[in-house]
Amino acid sequence: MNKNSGLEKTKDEDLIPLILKNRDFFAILMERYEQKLTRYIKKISGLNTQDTEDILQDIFLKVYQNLNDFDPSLKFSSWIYRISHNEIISHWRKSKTRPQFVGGDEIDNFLHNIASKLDIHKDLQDKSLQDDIKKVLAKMDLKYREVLVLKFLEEQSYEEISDILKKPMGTVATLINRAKKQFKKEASKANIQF
Amino acid sequence: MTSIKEKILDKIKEAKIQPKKRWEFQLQEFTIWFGAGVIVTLAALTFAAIIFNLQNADWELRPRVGVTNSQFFFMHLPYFWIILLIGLTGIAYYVFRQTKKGYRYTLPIIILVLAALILAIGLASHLSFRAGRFMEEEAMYGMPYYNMMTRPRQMIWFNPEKGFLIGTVYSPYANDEFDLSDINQNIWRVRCDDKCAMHALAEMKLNERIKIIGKQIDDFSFQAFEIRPFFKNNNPLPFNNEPGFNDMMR
Repeated sequence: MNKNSGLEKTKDEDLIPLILKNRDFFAILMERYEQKLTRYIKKISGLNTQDTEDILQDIFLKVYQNLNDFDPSLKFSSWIYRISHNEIISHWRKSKTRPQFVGGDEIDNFLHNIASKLDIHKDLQDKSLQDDIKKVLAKMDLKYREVLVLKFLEEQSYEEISDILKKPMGTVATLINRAKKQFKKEASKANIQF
Repeated sequence: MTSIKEKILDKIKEAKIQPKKRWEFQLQEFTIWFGAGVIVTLAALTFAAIIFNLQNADWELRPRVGVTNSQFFFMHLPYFWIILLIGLTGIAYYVFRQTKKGYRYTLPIIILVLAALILAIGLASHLSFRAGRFMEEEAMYGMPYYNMMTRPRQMIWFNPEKGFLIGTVYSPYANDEFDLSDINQNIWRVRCDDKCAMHALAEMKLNERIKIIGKQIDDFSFQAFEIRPFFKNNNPLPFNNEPGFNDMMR
């Protein structure tokens, strides 16, 4: 989009007034978040590409409609992840299917991050170890899996996770600790030794 | 193949989707804060009713009633108002959590702030314009079943053998006598002569609720030594003559 030239380095927050004047600038925001949100939706919900795309469309439409509700004291990324979180939960409730965990190209980084925090010292290049970790993640509750994805895949800070999930920071810390415990418990139930 | 962003921009153009106006969000936020304010105010008035009820208990009669301090205290706890206060505080917490930044605070902090607000506003409203009494009277005269809930407390005063009688003035006070309808709708002939101290706030109007300390003469006949208004004024009470309760207690 030619109109966008020169705005590549503009902060997300500063794009909002421009979008409100000219909706075509919304393409810049969508471009910035398309891949991140696709990855986030897939990791949390395990939906196929078509369903993921449908949710992504709903998310972007909701973002556009609610631009005037953006609170400048938040990071824009926290706000858009919050809308995504709500859409995923809403989709999950409607479909009543248990969200699954799926891998992807960026799984290595996620597994590496999560393994170091969970005291897993084995070689992560080992394909069967990666599969075991994915199996355990698939069995975890959505709320715990989501904080692990936000923390170790999206690499969000506690404050950002707090803004995304709309929970106090202390609760986020508790959720992460419980998520780690549940990970270990599910691993031990499945007889997986790390 | 059309990309997602192109699909969305096309959809926005075709369906003429517009961002919602800023005032709509501001109105929504204002409504939440207004709701929180109303609920906190109601909770504060409820707290004022609790203070009023505890102050209105006749602690000096406790030895004559023959119960321990703690029994007397639990008999006089206004359970209806306490449960209502807990419920309103819970709703206020929920509403506060719906505000834009409400999620950032933990439950203990929100409850602490709410409690401080409710206590301060409740106490101030009780002391400044007797909000507690207003709430109690509104509940007593306007709320079905409320009197049934307060009956155990009133039963302390419905004990003619021990010298306590409670009810509403049923006939005009004349020739040192009047009729009283007790809480079971029995009509008593009450005598209040020179030996009887009548509180200045006991106006003896028809249907006025009063409390009497005295002595049962026979069935539905009572000699009053002291007549009190149903509610205390929370101040030292003036009597039209000195004997009465204090004399009787000797």
